[in-house]
Amino acid sequence: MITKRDGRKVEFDGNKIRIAVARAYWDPDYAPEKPYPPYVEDIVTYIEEENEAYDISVEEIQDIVEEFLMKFDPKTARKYVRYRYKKEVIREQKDDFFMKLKPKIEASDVQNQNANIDEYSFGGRKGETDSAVMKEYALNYCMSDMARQNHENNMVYIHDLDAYAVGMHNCMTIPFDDLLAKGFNTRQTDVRPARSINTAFQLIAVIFQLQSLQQFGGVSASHLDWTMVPYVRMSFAKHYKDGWTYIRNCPPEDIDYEIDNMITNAQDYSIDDPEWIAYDARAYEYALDMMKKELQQAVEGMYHNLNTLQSRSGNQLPFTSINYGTCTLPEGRLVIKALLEGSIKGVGKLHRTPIFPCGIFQCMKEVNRAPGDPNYDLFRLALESTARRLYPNYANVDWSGNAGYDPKDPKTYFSTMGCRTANGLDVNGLGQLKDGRGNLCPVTIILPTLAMMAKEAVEAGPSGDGDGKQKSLLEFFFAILDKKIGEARDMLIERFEYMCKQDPRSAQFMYENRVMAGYIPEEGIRSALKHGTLVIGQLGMAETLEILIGSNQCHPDGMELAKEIEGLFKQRCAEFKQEYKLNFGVYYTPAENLCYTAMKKFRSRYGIIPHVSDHEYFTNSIHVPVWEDVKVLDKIDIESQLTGYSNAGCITYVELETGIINNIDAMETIVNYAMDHDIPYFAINVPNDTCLECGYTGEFNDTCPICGSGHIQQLRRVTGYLTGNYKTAFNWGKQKETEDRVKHTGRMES
Amino acid sequence: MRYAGIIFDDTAAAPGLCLSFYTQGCPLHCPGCHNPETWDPDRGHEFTGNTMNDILNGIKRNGIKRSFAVLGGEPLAQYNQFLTAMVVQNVRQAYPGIKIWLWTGFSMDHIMSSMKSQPHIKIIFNNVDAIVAGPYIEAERDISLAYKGSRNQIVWHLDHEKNIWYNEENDKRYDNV
Repeated sequence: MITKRDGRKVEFDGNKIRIAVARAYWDPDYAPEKPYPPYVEDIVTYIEEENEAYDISVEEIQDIVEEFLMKFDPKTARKYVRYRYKKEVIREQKDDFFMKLKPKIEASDVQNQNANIDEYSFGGRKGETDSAVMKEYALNYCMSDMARQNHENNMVYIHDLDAYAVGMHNCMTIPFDDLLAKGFNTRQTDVRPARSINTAFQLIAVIFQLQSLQQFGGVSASHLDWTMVPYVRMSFAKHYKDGWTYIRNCPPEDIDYEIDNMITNAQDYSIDDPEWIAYDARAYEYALDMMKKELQQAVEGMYHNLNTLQSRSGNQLPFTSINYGTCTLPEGRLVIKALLEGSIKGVGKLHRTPIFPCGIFQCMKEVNRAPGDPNYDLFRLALESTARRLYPNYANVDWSGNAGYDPKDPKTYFSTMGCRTANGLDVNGLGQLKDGRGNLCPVTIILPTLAMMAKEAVEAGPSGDGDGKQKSLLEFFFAILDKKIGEARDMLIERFEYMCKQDPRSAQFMYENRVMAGYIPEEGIRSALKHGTLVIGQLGMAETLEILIGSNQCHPDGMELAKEIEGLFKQRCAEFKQEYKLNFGVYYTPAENLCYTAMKKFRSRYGIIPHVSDHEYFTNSIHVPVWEDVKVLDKIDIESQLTGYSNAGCITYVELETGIINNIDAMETIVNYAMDHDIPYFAINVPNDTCLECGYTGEFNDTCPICGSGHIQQLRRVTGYLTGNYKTAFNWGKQKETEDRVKHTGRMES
Repeated sequence: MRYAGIIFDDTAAAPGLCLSFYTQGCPLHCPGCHNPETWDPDRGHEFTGNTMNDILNGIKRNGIKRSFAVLGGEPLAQYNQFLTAMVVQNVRQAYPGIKIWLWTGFSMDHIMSSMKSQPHIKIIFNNVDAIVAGPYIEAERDISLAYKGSRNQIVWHLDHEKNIWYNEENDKRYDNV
């Protein structure tokens, strides 16, 4: 028997030796029909004899062949050795590749690149392994050298590389109004239109999950309060009919024609329609009561569903977000109230803070901002929920960047994905419509790398860029940045074209049900994809300013330069949008993993530079660094000067203390201040430590102050979303960032 | 005159966003006190005209009117009364409409029975809207309470029309000084 490399034992096969030697002998003219070299039988016989004595190994056979050839045919020997070496290299590459997968398959080196993915689970291990293979494939076979080099050299990062090769897109604001009203098809069946609030909320969870499998990013509802109005009415009418028949002890056929007609067409009649009370006040009260109970159950069901439904091979929850807050109809107001009360109540036995959906309260002037506004009470309730649960966040319907929206159409109100990604004005005819649109893919320019390149160019002297003149650091930087913004555009176009080549059957739910707006089957999926956004993100503004001028945007000179940089981003994206008729946009990237991996690469090249690479992470986009000691409203002042440059999504946070639960007035001042300063999307971080024994929530690190338990979940925000315990779910860089976060209120000064 | 420090954007000492001024020096020394570094009347910083300006400007920073709170230390300790009176009077004159809160370790009973004749108490009590009164008692500690540290403390509000101090926890009322 022969012992193979992997330890298996197989029968000796002399032909393998004959062919290997013939290959070397005839190289490069080898062909199977050519005769074997005359001395081959001597080698084979010799090895056969050796093999009878013991189980000879493949390596030993090759040694024997090599020695024999060196003695009798040195020319062939040289070729044989070369051939053997080449095979070994290939074998090692294959080994290397598989060995890289090993820690992912075994979950032995979990990095928590994305806090929502359970990398320890079977699904997670399989998913992470797939992802590594797909990334390698995408880099090698799907993109230009320019794109690959930008990515690998820490200059322009391609996000979600593992989804590149199959041509998946990122995220989607789901047109729930249509899907609930018309029903939809799935692979196995079709689903009828919703006819009650309970069903409607169940379908929200089902559709969120189905759509999240068609793409790699998040899913959102842009105006859930308005969406639910008809279903609140239908439930109300159903209960009205039941109540009437029960109270009157009459069959439902006895209901008067007019009222029966209202019941049949319930979606057209307000629950406040005086006819309901006039016809039967008891039935009205019963219906209202039962409908509210059903609504509350339905909302609680949705919260539980969205925190339990797993997707993408069972290793993550769909990233879900719901926008609401502007509907002043009685039904919409009830929905908003139920959503907020559900959020405050929490999920599970201990009423824990729901991780999903990310709630987003849409602030709107004259609707919910000030005392006297019809939904002001709901704004106050939202603030209370935020103080306790970190959600909702706040979207600014009056944001100047959403100009051109239709005040009569909530589908055009400013809404956002929980992370921050937003659908701006469509260059291909859909205007400010949010539903049915999403981001296709982002790239992120790693600004500190470009700043270091500029620095190196300056140090290289006048010949730095060949024109013989000495440019300043800033001139070099802007030249490099402009070039990289152009390359970022080309990288996005490459990927867009790649996406457009996919078969609509790859995302049948999305295309068949017109989840993605604008799809015309005869024209192919480009007809739909062209309404999505292609976004150029950025990382590390604060560190870049430190490299370039030694101060960051908290100081006037830093701010001035930051504006100049953002101005270039904005101007170029606007030009690209018109020139290519594609929705290019400036994006303030949620660099959850990149903030850390880009820093690791940066350090390995440039080392630790004070104020630049002395933290474990880069500061995301244009944010004031988390360690900066700034006051709460000052932080809003600073960031609001830069958020206006981004039309594809940005977020501003402030860090408050848990005691804020007792001071909703202060919350109101802060949120209104952000809205008045034209911040598009605003979130408040309040430490949320939950005792897993008694359920007490507050800030207390490792021991519960109520029951003394050490079984604590420490919930913190990452990239707009919440996640489980940050100490186990966040990557190392984000853990450090979280620990560096300075509170923006409550610090004593003298 | 010495003071301990200022929190320019505070959310814990009074409703709304608030500027909190901490006096220096306290005779009470409650066990478990949150700020024992404010006990020694000789520590902290010298209060100057600039400090007063910082307070007045801080209240309206960012174009937003804040509430104002005086804490300690013990703002009603004899050696702090003048400073407390001056500060609340100045703040009141500059911002007639804002809420001013005072935190003291003395109980309202004690103040009304044996302190109200002290020289600056009248000025203080006629320029504040609410008083958090009572010593901090470790055994009564409850971190979930609004505007107090222990259950025994009481938040008194001034009914400006009747000139009476009232609270929401019991029926006791005091005429203003």
